[in-house]
Amino acid sequence: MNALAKPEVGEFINRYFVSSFQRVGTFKINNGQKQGGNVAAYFCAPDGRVLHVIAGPVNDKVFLEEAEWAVTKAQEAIGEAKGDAATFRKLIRKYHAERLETAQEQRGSKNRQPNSNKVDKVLVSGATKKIEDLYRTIFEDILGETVTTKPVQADTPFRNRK
Amino acid sequence: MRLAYFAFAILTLVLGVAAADETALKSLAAPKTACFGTAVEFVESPTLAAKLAAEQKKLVFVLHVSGHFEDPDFT
Repeated sequence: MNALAKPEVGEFINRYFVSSFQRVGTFKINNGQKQGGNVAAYFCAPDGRVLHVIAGPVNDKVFLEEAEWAVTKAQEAIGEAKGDAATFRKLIRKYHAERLETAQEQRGSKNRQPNSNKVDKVLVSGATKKIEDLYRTIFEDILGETVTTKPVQADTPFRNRK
Repeated sequence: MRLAYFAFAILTLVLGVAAADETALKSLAAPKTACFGTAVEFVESPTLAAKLAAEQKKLVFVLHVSGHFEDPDFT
C-alpha cells in the first residue's frame, strides 16, 4: 500500500494508532506479473472492535482522509457516550449511516472510492464488531478475494536468476 | 564449601530471573517495530498492538494483506 510510504500518513498513523498487519490472502506471480491479491485497512478500538475500514488500495490523500475521519468520529463518540458502550456503538453506526446517506445524495460524485459505499453498508450494522467477525465479509464479499493461508504462487521464486 | 556453591547457584538463578523480568518489562515498554518500506511502525501482532494501544490510549490499525508484507517481492 503505497499510501503508507508517505511521511505525513506515517506520522498521523503513528501518532494516533498502534499498528500491525496480518496475512489473510495470497496471489500468483505469472511471468513477473502479480495476479490477484488485495489489502484492507482496519481502524479499531484498543479491544479490537472495528470503527472504520478501507477496502482495497487507495492513494495517500484518500487514506489520510479516511484515517482522520475514523479518529475524529471515535473521539466524538467517546465524548458523547461518556463510557456507555451501547451508546458508543450506536453513534459509530450512525456515523456510517450518515456517510452512506451523504454518498447517496451525491450519487455520481467521482470523489467517493468504489468500495466505500459497500463498507459503510456493512458497518451501519457491523461497526464495533470484532475484526474477526468482519474481515471475511470485507475481504471476500467486498474485495472478491479468498481468505487463505496458502503461500504466494510464483512461476519462479528466483525472479532475479538468469 | 558445598554450601557456598549452592548459595552462589541460587543467587545466580534469582538474579537471572530478575534480569529476564526486567528485559521483558523493557521490551514491553519499548516494543520492537518495523516499517517494511512504509512510514508506519508495525508491531509484531494485532494482540500486542491492542495491548499497547490500551496502555498508550491510542487506537489500533490493522492491515490485512495478501502475500508476505515483510517481503516487497511478495506483497
